[in-house]
Amino acid sequence: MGAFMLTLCAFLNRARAILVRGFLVTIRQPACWVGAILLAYICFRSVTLDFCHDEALSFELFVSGGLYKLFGPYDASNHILYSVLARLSRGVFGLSAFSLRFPSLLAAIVFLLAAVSFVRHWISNTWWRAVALVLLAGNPLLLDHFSAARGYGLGCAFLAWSIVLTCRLTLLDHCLVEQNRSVYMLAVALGLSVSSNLVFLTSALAIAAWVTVVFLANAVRKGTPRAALASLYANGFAAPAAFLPAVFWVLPLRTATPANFYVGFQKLVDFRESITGVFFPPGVHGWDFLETIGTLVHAAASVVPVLELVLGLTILALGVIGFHWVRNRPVSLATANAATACAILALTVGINLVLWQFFGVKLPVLRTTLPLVVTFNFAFVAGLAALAQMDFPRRLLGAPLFASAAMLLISDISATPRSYLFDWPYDSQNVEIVGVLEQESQKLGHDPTVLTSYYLSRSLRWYGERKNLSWLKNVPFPWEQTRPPKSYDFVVLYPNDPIPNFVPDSPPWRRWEISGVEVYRNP
Amino acid sequence: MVYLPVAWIVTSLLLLLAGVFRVWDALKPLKQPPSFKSLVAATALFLPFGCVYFLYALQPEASPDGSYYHNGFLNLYEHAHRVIPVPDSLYAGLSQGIEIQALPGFLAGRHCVPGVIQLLYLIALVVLIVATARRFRQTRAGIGAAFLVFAAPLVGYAATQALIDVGVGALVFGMFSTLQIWLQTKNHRFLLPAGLLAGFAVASKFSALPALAIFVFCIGWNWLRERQLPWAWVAVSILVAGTMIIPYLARNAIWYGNPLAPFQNQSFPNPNFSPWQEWEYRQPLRSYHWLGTEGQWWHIPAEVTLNGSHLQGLYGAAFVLIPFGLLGLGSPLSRRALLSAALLLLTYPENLGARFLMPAIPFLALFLTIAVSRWPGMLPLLLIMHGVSCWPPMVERWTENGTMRLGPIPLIEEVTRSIPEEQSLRRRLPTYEAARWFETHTSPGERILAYSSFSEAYTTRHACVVYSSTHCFKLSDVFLSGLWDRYKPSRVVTARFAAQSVSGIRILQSAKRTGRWDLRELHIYCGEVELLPSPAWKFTATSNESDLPYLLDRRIVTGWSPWEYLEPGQYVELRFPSAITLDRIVLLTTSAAIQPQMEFYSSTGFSPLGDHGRWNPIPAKTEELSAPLPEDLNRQVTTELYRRGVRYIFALRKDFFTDDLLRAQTGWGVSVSAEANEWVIFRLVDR
Repeated sequence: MGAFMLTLCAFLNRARAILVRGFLVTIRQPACWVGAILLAYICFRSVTLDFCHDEALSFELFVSGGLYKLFGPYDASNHILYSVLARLSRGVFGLSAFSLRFPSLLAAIVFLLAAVSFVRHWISNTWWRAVALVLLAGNPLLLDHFSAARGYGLGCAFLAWSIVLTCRLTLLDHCLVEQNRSVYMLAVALGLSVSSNLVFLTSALAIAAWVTVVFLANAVRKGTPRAALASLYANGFAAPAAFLPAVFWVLPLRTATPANFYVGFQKLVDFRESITGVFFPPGVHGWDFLETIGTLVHAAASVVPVLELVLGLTILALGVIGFHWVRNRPVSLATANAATACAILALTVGINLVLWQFFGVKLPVLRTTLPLVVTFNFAFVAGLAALAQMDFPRRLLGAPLFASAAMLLISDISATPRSYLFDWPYDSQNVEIVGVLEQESQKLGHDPTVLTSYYLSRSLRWYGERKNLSWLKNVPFPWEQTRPPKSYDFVVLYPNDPIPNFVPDSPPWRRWEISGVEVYRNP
Repeated sequence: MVYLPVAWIVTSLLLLLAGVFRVWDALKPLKQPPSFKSLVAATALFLPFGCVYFLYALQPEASPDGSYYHNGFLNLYEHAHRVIPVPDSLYAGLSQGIEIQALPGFLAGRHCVPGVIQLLYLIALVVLIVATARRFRQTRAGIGAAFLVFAAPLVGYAATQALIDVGVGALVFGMFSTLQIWLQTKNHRFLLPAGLLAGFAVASKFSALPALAIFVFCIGWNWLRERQLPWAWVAVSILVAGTMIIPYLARNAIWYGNPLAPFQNQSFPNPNFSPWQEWEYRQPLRSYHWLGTEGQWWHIPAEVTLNGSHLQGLYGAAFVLIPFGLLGLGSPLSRRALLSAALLLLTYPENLGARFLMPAIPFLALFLTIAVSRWPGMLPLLLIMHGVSCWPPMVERWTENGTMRLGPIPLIEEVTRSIPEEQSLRRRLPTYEAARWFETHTSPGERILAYSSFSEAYTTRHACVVYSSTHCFKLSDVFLSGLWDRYKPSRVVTARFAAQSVSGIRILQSAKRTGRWDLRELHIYCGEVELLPSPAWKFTATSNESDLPYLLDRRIVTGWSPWEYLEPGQYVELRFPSAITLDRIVLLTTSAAIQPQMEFYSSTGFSPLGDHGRWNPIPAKTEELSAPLPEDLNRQVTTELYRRGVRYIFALRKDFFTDDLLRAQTGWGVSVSAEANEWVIFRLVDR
């Protein structure tokens, strides 16, 4: 017994020492503090933010009800990996906004781990790491999606790991064949990213193309077991990376048509728009000097529409040349890493542009910019790390970057009270609307019948589900109405989203206005 | 003899034989039992599906094919106390190995027994897949493949109904599995069961013919590699395979005049099934009215895996991923599975129904899972996706109506018959009541004409369903004479020529088209005088000579057809006992869009030895006219049907003629005897 107790004490003492040392090491890392703060911020938003229309729509269409809803018919809002995880989360935590946002919160952790891993690997200065982490993970667009009940956050998280792993594999100075585990993890990360959202297919293809180049470069080396390398590429990378999303998407995609993928929009040359115009939307990045560059490129692309395509292809060519250069010269690993990250960005941009130009698929709009944002952030930080190692004048480099990081944080703080689609209906509006409806319905003496605009109906249905208000759970969509609007007790109008055949002025209906929403009571 | 005591005795003898041959040895504990983890995983995967399948199998049989002919024939044989010929049904000519195997059980347990037997076959198939994969050290892949097959919606459906596809799939895979043991152990005795299984597969379904190709291929491959062939064992195994198949060939040759009935009627002319009827039956099966119009061949994979509404069933989304299996081709089992599947798919273009893929499906599943099992975590993900999406109530939610799939999970009361079988069948089987009506209101021998089948498994009456034999098509020709313009005898072809004395005339057809030559009447004139037919006139034709007298019977709804597509060289000959003078031949035919091209020949003499003499073309001037139809044509139609023994016409409400008959019952000479939401039974008014 004594020996056992001694062993136990020794073990506990050792464990305590490890934990304490780990904790002390961690708290001395500003990057870890920044990561913890960002995570806390995301948690705070997950709990406090209004549940908006898109989240309510995803819940209603894919998370509530039978499992069959996961299998289609195809809807671009069905982020299937998220839908599966949200169902599990709902089963564990019950129905709440937080439980539906929990998968995105997990995605935030995965993303931050990837970001921390990246900065720790490539940046030696602890303060620079913190700045880099802010630049990687701090922009409001990205943070918004880690606290939203959608699948974009998951896509970003797995894409981040894909980039991190690709960068590591690219710079291995020994044979890839010995890295089968890492290669497989990369395939899984890529596959999960596409399983989260098909928008990430562009960046996944870019990474896959780059990894193919890396495998080919390995294959031409002398002494490489080419058969084993080919087998690893096929069975360890390409097949699993394609198989994983195929398993998730095969059923939903069975009813998809080209129109579901935005095919047939105006082509880039006709559109007089630039990818940077949507890549750096004002006020979202909080990153003024880059937005300025974006605006300039946008202006140039508007004048010469194919300029951007040419630029994209040039960047791609430079990436390939850069990679060749890196492999044949004694450059720093950080420089090579930057070249890799830039090549991934260039390929992603290139694929987006090709899709836009040749198929009329305008992907980079609103949230679908995220693959570009993530790849850009990693390329930017990798470039920063490379410059730092090149004895670039740090103060010259550091000042604007610190300033940018600070601006990002300020943007984040200023964005706190709002959600990621701030002009769409929210729960806080719903509270007021439903308050009015409940108050007025007491006078009716029965459950009220309500007709709403399309955007509001999703949001109100979600509210009714959560608050268990049976009359609100089944609020009809405008196209579902079977009787004239004037036969309803209440009609709720969202701005610019009218209900057909509804004229509230004859005889006059009683009217309330709540944050732009008009509530009418039948006289 | 189909008697219950006989069934018991035969079953007992078989069990005794099984004991003599130490079949129980197969149940000995395995040398390397599966791990606890794999047992738990397998139980979690298979048990839920197995339980609901058992309930489905015990439910009263209500599948369209099962309740029409699979169980229908068993019911017929039971009541006849023997296996009897049914010359007016092509299904009776198909090999019936699995049906006959189910017959003893059918006598005791009635209609759900064949379904339960299919479920046993499915369980055997699962065990075989796992055991075969285990032999190649691919146990995980084997369990995965077995589950993909087990949970596939169409497999679940076929394994719980009185169909035979799962049984055939299990037999073919069993043969493959046995051959693998032979190839590995070089113990030539395994050729015997392999031959037996291959033969029994073909004896159960003709479309399993490629099983013999696999058998031959394996033997040939072994001979090429080893340069030695156990001739004696090969001969015995082929003999055993033949023992399974030959009884059906002999039965068909004796009863139906064609060993390969209902196919190859061109090579084996017979009165029951004609080439034209065969093509009319087989042609839709090659397209299902979908391929070539809405669908193209490259849509087939999506159709049989994801949609299922056009080709009658689906196997689940997991099978879309089969191309990933190519990455497992390094494994010998994967290569063999792919090759076997390719061989088994050879007969698929003949019938595009998804069920006809069943023998190849276990091989394709194995081909896929061998590759996927190499990627950590992917196989469980695939199986979970497959399991969730293929759970019977789930399938209903994401597939279209018209897909062959399992209905709602049966109630225990339905399975235990607390809810009477009749009540359950009335709800699930629209034509069940029609079958019962025929049973109680008709006498044996009263013919029933139908264009759609009803649940013959629940009655001893058998209907002449039009597409199923030439006999029924002939009835249909009569019936359609009053219904469709292109079948109405309204076209008169007159050949005028200078009067000549002839001892015979020949009408030769020289067109090659997809239509059919359909003559209704033949009149011969000399001047304005019609030469009345004499019993001494002798008819001959290229085929279907038995119907030639109808050309002279003066009833326009009857006639003669070769029951083949239009082919140059088809002819009708009429020989006279002595030379007669004529100058005009008048033919009454239908106004079908595709018309034959007729030429007229005459002969001046025949030798006593039967020499046809010399046929000389008649320089005739031919003219075609429309003939007015008699007002009582419809009545003539039903009178002729009545004359041929037809007393009832069974019609679904959606059938093309139902509304016509309902509207003009008096004109047709029919009356409604019984009707329900989906069907009507017409009785031909007594003549």
